[in-house]
Amino acid sequence: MTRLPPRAGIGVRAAHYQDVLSSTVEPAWYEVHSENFFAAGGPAWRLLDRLAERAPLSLHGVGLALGSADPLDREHLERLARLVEHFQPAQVSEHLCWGHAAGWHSNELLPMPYTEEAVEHLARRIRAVQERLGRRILVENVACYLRYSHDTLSEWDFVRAVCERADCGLLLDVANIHVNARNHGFDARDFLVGVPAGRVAEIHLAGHQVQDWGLIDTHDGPVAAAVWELYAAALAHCGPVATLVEWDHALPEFGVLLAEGARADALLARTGAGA
Amino acid sequence: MSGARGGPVAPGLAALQHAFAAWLRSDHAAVPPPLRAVVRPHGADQAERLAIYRRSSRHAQRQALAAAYPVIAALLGAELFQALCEDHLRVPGSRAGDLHCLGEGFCDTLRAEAACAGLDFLPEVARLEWLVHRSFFAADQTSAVALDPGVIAPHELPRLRPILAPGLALLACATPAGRIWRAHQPDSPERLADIDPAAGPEWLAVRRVAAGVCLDSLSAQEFALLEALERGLTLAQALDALNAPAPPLAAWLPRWLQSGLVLGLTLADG
Repeated sequence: MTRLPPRAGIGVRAAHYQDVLSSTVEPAWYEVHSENFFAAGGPAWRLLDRLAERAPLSLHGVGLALGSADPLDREHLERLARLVEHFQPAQVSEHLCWGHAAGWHSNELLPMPYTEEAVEHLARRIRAVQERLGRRILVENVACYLRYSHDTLSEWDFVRAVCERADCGLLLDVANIHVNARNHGFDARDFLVGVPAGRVAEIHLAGHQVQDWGLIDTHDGPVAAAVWELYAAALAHCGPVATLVEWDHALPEFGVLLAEGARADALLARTGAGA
Repeated sequence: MSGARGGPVAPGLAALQHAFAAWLRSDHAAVPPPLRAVVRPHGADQAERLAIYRRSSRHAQRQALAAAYPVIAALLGAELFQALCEDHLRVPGSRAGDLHCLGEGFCDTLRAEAACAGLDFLPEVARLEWLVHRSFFAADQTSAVALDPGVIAPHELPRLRPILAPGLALLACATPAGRIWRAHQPDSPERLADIDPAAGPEWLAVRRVAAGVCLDSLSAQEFALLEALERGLTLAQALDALNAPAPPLAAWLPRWLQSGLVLGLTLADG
């Protein structure tokens, strides 16, 4: 599997396009949302061409709905394939979730049941996507606010089983582990220990909001102290891995994002030195 | 819902997702029994936790509609625009995982809204905004190589076909929809207060340019010719199809080439 350099990348969001292009900070890699570049030309592809000249790309999808029981959205997959073929990114990722049913799309990352049926379904779909793209993809564990009464697996057993049966990589969202641990009452370290470390090819961090009943993964603020601690533990388990601080809403000045990335870089450097 | 030993019956993945999606799409606060049976109670928070997904889904979809329809949002005001977004999200709703695809047919949602009755320009501005939105996301025009006009032989003239701008979309309006759209663009000399909403008609071309999308105003005859060319006819066939006195092509073509409405000329197969 092609890997991104084990450093902090830059998440490219529309409000920061000019900052990204004019920044003097040498980028280790860039991550963009795949669907924002499905245009097959025009200003979007010209921007991506410029980014690709400077650093490796990671294409992160939010709309393929791998876990939906309805047929795979072939049109969506073809548009992704066209993007992948043109830019040859270092990595391509999607989420371990479902999103549409009976032709209606929620445009949301909806929670899978942790069952054998769901594992098999996801593994089959991921294999189909990998076959079409001609490459291994990464799948990301999602934040979750409810659980199903018929779950038969822990989340980490579920994630590991999907990755192994699909033979795909894992985009480990450490912030989502923290959120889910708080929301569902498990020890986040149990999740980390259960993760197939050799398959982790990227890590995500993000800010969340605190509610009376638990946490919501909002991507609208700095990474919380507890998530930084868990991140350090994740690096100890997986070794140094390309990391992105996701910040999608209430975007701060670009410099604030770079500072969050620098904090991840410092932990990565420490892990690398100790490895 | 319980099994023979009193434990929960595991619904199939499809049944679970259909029940979940149906509730998300509805406005019902109460969780229906099939969904209530498969989502853990989470204390008394079951409905609240489900509602997080509904709020997040609707928020993302409303944001996508607002991004696609900034002029309609400005014309309607926040309250009515939000109400119409909710109508559109109910029917037809989102039909793709890519949020940039959400909003097709919003002009029909406007036509069905009583508060918009008599405001004929609104659906036409909405249709125009959708074409602008789609033009931005259209593929580049890469299928044909432009000829050097100096090397076109006389016998090839009947096979000449213009290479049209990427993302080109044509729209004939009964109202001044194009002027209204322009009045909402930054640095536009057009002023909304100067536009008579009963004026019209307009013939418009939307196309992608380097920095985004632009709008051209055309004559009715130009529009008809471009429409024929967009259907894939050669220049000669399109001129025949006009069934009208010879248009001033010698004036139009250089202007189209200069503006980028036409990228060049190529030869049709055959």
